[in-house]
Amino acid sequence: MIMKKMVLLIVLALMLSSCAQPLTAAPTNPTSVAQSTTVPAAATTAPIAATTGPSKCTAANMYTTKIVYTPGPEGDAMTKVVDYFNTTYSQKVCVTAELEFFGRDQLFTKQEAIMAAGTDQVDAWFITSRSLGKYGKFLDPIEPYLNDTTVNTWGGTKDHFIKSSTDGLTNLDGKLVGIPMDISANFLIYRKDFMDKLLSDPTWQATYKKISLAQMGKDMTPKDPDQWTWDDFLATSYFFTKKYNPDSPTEYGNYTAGKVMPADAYLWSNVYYDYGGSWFDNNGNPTFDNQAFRDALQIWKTMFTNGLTPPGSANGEYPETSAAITAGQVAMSVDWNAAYNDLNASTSAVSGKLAVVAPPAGPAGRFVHNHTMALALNVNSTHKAETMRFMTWLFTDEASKLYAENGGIPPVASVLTGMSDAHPDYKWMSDYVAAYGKSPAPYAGIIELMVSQYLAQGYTGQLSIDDTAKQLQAAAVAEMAKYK
Amino acid sequence: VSKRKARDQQTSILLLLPLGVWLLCFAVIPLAYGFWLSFFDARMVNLSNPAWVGLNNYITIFKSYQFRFSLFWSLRFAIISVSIEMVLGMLIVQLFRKNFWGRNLAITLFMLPMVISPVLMGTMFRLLFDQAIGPLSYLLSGLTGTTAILGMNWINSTIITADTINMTPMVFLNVYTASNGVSGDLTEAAKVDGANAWQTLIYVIYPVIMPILLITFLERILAGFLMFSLVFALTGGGPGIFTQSASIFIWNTAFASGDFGVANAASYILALLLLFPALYLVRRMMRTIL
Repeated sequence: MIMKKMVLLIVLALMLSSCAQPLTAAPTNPTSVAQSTTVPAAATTAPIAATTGPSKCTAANMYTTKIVYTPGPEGDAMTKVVDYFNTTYSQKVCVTAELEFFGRDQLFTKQEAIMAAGTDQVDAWFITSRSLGKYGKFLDPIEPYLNDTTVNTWGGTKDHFIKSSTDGLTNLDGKLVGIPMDISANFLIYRKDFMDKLLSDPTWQATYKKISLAQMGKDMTPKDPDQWTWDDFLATSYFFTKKYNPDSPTEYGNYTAGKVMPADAYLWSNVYYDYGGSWFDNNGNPTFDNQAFRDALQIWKTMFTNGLTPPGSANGEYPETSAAITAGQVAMSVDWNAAYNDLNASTSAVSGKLAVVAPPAGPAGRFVHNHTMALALNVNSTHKAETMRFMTWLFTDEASKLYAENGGIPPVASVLTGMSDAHPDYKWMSDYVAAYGKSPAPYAGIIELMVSQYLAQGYTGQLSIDDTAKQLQAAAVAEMAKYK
Repeated sequence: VSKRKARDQQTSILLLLPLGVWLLCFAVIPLAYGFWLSFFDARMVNLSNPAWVGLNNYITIFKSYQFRFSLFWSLRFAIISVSIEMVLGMLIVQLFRKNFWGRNLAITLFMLPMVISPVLMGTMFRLLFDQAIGPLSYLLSGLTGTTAILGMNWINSTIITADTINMTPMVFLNVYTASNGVSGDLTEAAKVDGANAWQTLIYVIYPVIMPILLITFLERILAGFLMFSLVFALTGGGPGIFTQSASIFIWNTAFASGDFGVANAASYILALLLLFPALYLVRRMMRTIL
């Protein structure tokens, strides 16, 4: 009997211990650790010779830093970078880097859960420029380490990167919290063969004039896409839509991706910026209830209500945009830079027929939305200096070039321009972002889904433009109030 | 006898213990934690120290137009799609009640969509229904008059169609199995009394399998009401909130907006709404089994 009771107790204890383990690993309070942002003493007392002198690394002072990264092309490129660093430099700076791939789907949700637990098992997070406000509490400013020559033995500075990318990773308090790794921007991708004909064929030009006058009340002439305003974009969309021009070679003028998702809201943001709008003012307050918002939303609404974009694009995103361009269904689209390479591949039906410029201009200027994937230091890491011995190496040409050669797009002008033969889109990226780049505010990630939902209700006519502006403003202000 | 009874009880406890601990860890504690969170302003940034807000999250949910819209959408979707699936499933069973060459293969093929996960189904349908390259949208354009079946005018019908293809086999499976369990004596007797096939079905077979039909209907209604994966993969709840189900609303609130307090409050309201039909379903199931 006693034996049985003991067995029962042992089984119970084992069960409960396995159950309780994750619960007893109580999350540390991020705020308590967040206060320590200075470089740990160990980093300053143990100078590491990165490029000079013999290696002093021993098993005791060697550290493996754990870095979250996204799988896919960016992860493949980063793997090569890390492998190279581990082979070439790890014994010099006594750090090896190890990538932790969380899976592309819901990567940020998984990461947030671990962040919230206050873990110190990860040394660097994978973030995006627009999510700084959301994760700020879990990120440590990196400039103290960048300025510390005992940690940053590579001599890199933040000027290594295109300014727009570091601006996008700077919090409202002016502190840089991310290392720009991979930049994405919006291009206007268009059918060059059609535009060339439009610019040279008098019959097409006459039709263009007629349609623009009838639909927009403006007597317009075709222009080079690099000179376009949004009026030119609209007029050209009308021209290439069969409903308005039965001789159009395409069914619809453009593809306006309208699915409820942040990426599509950012595509619209190009128009908003051009009309003088911005998601936030300088103090971090949402700003949607204004004339720029109404004007910009009206342009997107026109696409849907006047049938200038395929009706299915209300639920379309990146792959559907590419499918429509490849199928010859549309003449152009404001799209993500990554699309160009796939669309122009030798196997593509539209290979060699596409060209790229920055999105059109508006009354307030011409802007190119861009955001950056980045690495940021975990505020709860117990090995920040060691981690930064590796991460400061990412501020060098060597690391950026290696990353680009393996499929990544580092926001480094010299590297992108140097690869223009193999990747013309890299040079465009560099040129357009340098000339017109605008990064979203660090808090954009908090309200990006909300913005995309309201925008979609506005441009599909579920809400009037005025109601969209007012309701989105109220909702965004209420949401942001919870974060302040 | 009492010693044996006590030993049996101990053995029962020992055998049930793993399940009990599993349920405690992965059902009871998370549920209790979620209920507790529903009274707090709980976000990623303050999850370790959330702020007490009392019933505010519940008030927010009751005032939310999006939540009301999502509930209505879910209810409408559940009723329409499940009604179609029930009728189709019951009719298709009649096709397979007679023996014909290739019947087993046909049943296997018909059952295939059921074993595909709804999220994969949604992703496949996004391609098949695509306006530019989708073969199904092209083939269906003869009926719909457009290839834009993912656009505003058709999207609700498209989602119902996708769910019908995915879930009618489930109804079929239940009804087919139950029908095959009806005693041949009953149908023979009906035939002797002069009943035709239709009368036999309506007055003999369906009354006998009514508990299974009811359970299937209720189970499908509950599943339809909680629909997430298929719609999420197809539309993400859009355009705007046009196809946002209650589950997508909760997911967006929790994981896109990071507002776990409001998301948990919404979850508990949804759970309360579904509690009574769920309890009824369980009672009927237990009665049918016992």
